Amino acid sequence: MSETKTLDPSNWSEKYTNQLFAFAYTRTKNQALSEDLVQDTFFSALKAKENFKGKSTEKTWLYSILKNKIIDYYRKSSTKKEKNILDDEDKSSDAIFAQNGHWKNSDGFVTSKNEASLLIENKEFYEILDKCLANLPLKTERAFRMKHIEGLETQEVCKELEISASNYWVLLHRARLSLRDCLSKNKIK
Amino acid sequence: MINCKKASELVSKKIDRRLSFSEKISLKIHNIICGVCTMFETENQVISECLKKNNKNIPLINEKKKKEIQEAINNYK
Repeated sequence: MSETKTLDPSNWSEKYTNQLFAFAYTRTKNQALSEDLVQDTFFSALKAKENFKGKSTEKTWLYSILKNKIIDYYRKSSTKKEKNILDDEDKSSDAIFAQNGHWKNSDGFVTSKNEASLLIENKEFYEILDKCLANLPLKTERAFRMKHIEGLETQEVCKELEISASNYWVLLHRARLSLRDCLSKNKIK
Repeated sequence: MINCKKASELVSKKIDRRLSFSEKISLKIHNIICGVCTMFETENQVISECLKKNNKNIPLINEKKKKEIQEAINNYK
C-alpha cells in the first residue's frame, strides 16, 4: 500500500495545492478563481471529513470535490447568460453569413499555409486567441475548451454540461465561427 | 452545390465526428472553388494546435499562497 486511505490535512497544501491548481487552471484559465476553488475544495473536504470512507485515496477524493466545484461554478454562471443560447442559432450565423450563404467576411485570420505555421509560433497570437475564447458565451467556451484543451470525449462533455450531443456540436461549430470572426478582426499586423 | 454556410458546417462535422461519403465529396468540390472555406479548415487546425501547445503553460502557485492555504486549513474548525 503506497497511498494512504486516511485523511491527513496537516500537509494538504504542500502535497496537493499545485496539482489541484493546475487542474482548475486548465479548466478555467483564471488564476485567482483557480486559487479560490482549490482553497474551497480543502474547506469542503474538512467539512465533509466524516463522509470520507477510505474507499478512495485522499487525493482522488479531493479531486472529485474540486471537479464538482468547477461544474457548479460553470452551472451558476451559465444559467443567466445562456438561457436562450441554443434557441437563437440563426441569429448567430446571420452575423457570419449573408442571405445567400456566403461568408460576410471573406478575410479570415489565415491566408496561406505558410502563415498558419507562423501563427502557431507567435506568442502574440496566443494572447489574442485567449481573449477571443473569453469572448465566447460561457457554455460555448467551456465546451470548446473541454474538447480542444482537455481532450474530453463527447459523452463526458455532454454529461458535464448537461446538453445533448447535437447541442454540443452546434456549440462547437458556433465557437469556430465566432473565433474566426474575432481572430480576423484582431489580426496581428 | 452547397454554399459556404453549409460547407462550414461540414468542416466542423469533420472535426467532431465523421463525414459521410457524399458529404466528403460535397466539401471537396466546394473547397476547389472556395478559398475561404479551404482556409476555414486550416484556421481550425491552427486553433486546435495552439490550444494543445498552450495548455502546457500553467502558472505556478507561489509558496506564500501555499502556506496561507495550509494555515487556513489548520485553523479550520
